[in-house]
Amino acid sequence: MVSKLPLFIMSLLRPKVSPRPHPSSEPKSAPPTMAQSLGNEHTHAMIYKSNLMKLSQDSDSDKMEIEDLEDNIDLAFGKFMRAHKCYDLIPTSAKLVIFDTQLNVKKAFFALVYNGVRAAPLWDSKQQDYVGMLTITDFINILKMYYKSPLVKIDELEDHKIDTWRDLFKTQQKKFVCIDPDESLFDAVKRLLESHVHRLPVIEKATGNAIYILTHKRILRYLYLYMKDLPSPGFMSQTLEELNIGTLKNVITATKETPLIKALNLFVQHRISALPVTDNQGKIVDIYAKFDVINLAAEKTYNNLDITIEQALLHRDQQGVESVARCMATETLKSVIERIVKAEVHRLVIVNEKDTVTGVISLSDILKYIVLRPMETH
Amino acid sequence: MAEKSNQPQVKIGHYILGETLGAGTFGKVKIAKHQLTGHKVAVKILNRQKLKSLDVVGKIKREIQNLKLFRHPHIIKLYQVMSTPTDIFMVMEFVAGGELFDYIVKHGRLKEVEARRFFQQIISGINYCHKHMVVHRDLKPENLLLDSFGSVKIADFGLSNMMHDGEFLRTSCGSPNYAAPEVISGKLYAGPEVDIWSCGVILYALLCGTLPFDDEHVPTLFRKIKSGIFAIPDYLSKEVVSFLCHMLQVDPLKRATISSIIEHEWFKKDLPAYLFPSPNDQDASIVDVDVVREVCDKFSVSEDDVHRAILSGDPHDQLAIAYNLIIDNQRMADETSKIDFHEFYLASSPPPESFLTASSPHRPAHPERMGEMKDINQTLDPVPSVGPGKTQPVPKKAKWHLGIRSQSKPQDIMHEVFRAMKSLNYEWKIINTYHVRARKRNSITNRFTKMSLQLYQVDQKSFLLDFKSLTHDAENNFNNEIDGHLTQSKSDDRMEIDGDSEGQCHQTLEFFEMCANLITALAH
Repeated sequence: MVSKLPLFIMSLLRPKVSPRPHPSSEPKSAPPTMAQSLGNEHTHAMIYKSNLMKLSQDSDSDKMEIEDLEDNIDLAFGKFMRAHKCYDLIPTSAKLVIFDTQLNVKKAFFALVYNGVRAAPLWDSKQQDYVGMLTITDFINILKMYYKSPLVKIDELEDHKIDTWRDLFKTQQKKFVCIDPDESLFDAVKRLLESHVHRLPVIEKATGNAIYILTHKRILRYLYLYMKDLPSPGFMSQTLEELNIGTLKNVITATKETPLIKALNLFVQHRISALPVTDNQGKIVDIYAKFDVINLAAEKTYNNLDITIEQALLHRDQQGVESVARCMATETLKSVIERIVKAEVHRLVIVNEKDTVTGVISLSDILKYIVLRPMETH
Repeated sequence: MAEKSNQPQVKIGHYILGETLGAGTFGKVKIAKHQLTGHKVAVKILNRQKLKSLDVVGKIKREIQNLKLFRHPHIIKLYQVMSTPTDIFMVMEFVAGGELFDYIVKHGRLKEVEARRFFQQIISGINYCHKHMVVHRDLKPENLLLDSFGSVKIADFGLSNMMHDGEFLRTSCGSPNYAAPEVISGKLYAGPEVDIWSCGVILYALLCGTLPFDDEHVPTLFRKIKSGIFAIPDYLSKEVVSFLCHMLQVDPLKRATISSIIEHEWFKKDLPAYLFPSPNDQDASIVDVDVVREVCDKFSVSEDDVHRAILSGDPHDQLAIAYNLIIDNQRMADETSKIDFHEFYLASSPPPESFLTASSPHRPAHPERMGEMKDINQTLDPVPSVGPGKTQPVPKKAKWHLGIRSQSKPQDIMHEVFRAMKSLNYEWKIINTYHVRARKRNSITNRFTKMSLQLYQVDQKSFLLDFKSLTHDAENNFNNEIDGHLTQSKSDDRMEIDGDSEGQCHQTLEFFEMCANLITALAH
């Protein structure tokens, strides 16, 4: 008997043309001039290329826009984000996996791994609407809540539907947030930071179709592509120390001997996404992130969470201190942003000269500081 | 801990010095690693006694400053220069592929195609340096390194200028096989033509696996070089022989130039476009103010100094060279950012099976790559473990279908479709015998979800019932198309456009649910 298909996979092609012209409220004038020729007369002007694809051969793609920065270069990134739409950073082609809430939770996590995605919007057939997201955090919560010992199978993982699980966890469930492709990237940053989520589905209002899942990583990478064309705010050349950005004290760490189940508890308890792993002198030796937990599903080793972090990390291609993206509090924000973008990670561990962990700086910290803060304090 | 404490770590800037990689004409080279990023570099340690004084604010200092601006895919980059009272440390790009010399020793003489690829890269690098007024003067296979992609990287460009007059010749006499006749004759001026001679020797070595001029007895070797007579093996093609002879001309005035090399038929074959990018299309008469400021910054000079240097027309003026290098680098940066943009819009989450092939060779694998799902079938159920001895069948990846395949007779298939639609309370309209449009009112949104069902013949026996979503746009076209062809319809009227609809629609998901229900009903 064929049962109802609870799993939808979509392969989406990004439409070639932006659906509508920029409905932006930002004041704009658009002389197609080169940056250099503007010279000294326009010191308060910020210049950016509006239509993303420098490589696209479209004739209107080299359009430049100028906006008054009101003497405040610190607003450059915020205004840039406000002038660009979520649509602008959606890849030409992407894969999106959507789960029906009737799907078994275990299968759902398997499906994440099987499809190489880290999160999926949830579709409730009864309500005929999206109701939330399934992420690795759900997996962690289930393991944390129901794990007893290596000898006892986690029945809840075997039997529950996504629906059952969401019902039980109702009180702690986050409200479903999404964004329309026509909304600005600034709104996207705001929504990500204010709702404390890491995955923001882009859902087109007109069709109700989910088309992409936005992350901090992709947004900062997009901004980084344009950074050299934008005026550089003063804070970019200041150090993390001076700016007091990131978590600089009371950093939660683990050791190689920390049991995995304890690490999962630390993730949930402190609402952090990664644990720097240190030796007994506080020196960095590795890092264990929420992302690494999904490997328990891939290897089907989730029935024993008494193993140590060291054992749990064995699967990774790269281990040890080399695999940890680091920076120092004495480095400038500019070089830190460059490193975090190039390393394609969510956070850098801040260390001192002796490699002792002194802090953590995440993409959220950076986006909050360079995009949201200047616009709000202004 | 124990191994580390034996040897104190020596740091150069943020780099921790490691083992010695080799000793060249100018000094020892050691590997070093960035303490945070693990980025590997090569550090060349030069003894000050062998060098011209670097403390003088002047030509030499500016030349080194300029070497830091050199950016070319086939030239080893110089990142940083640091000095102590006794030594100079040059922090340079590290490449892992070893020396081209070792490659020849290991593989013997190369095929013309392979030799040409290396040679094109070498000439491209040399052309770049000559254009920016730097002559190598010590080209030899030991200075030609290979990176992990098997591309040539030329090392030690510009270093010969730092030596005391005469010092250079004395040290390089250890391996004079590549030196041009005028160099060993002790002529003081050595321009770009000496590099061309060395290129001739290198190409010969690549093609033949031996040196054109060789003798253990140095005076005899010098005589051979000055005579310019070398053996030509039979296996060399006529074309390449004439090419070699032109580069190995004893008279520097008759010798090939870079431009004549680039124009040579043998050289031009399979020439990658990036090696000789089209010249800067920007108008050279417009001075870029930002670049001038950057030069001022780097050399601590005034804008007037830079303007004067640019206008002087002296191609060897170090400030003018710096200006041109920065202009060139900007152009190259523009080219790279085009690639960055291209990569940004590439598919971001490729299916697992393409992870290995999709990433371009220059980008390392993503640090958070998801593992393969083990022992699982397409419906995500566990695959029973296979006993020892038997081999696990390779799981087939699902094919992309949206519809139903059947080997029944076409009339029977359509009959089943109507029965299923009826059981699901769908309304439908018949376009032709094998093509139907169906719709179903969504009780929550009060809208219609619409789809088209069409039967296709795939081969002799099998048929495919294709499902297609009908959205508003598609539907309007559709209506125009079939106007007048309507034969029969369950609800005689044309389907009304639902103007009174409410609630957010979800085109794709509602369509998928409709498909799922239909497939389920058909399977009963």
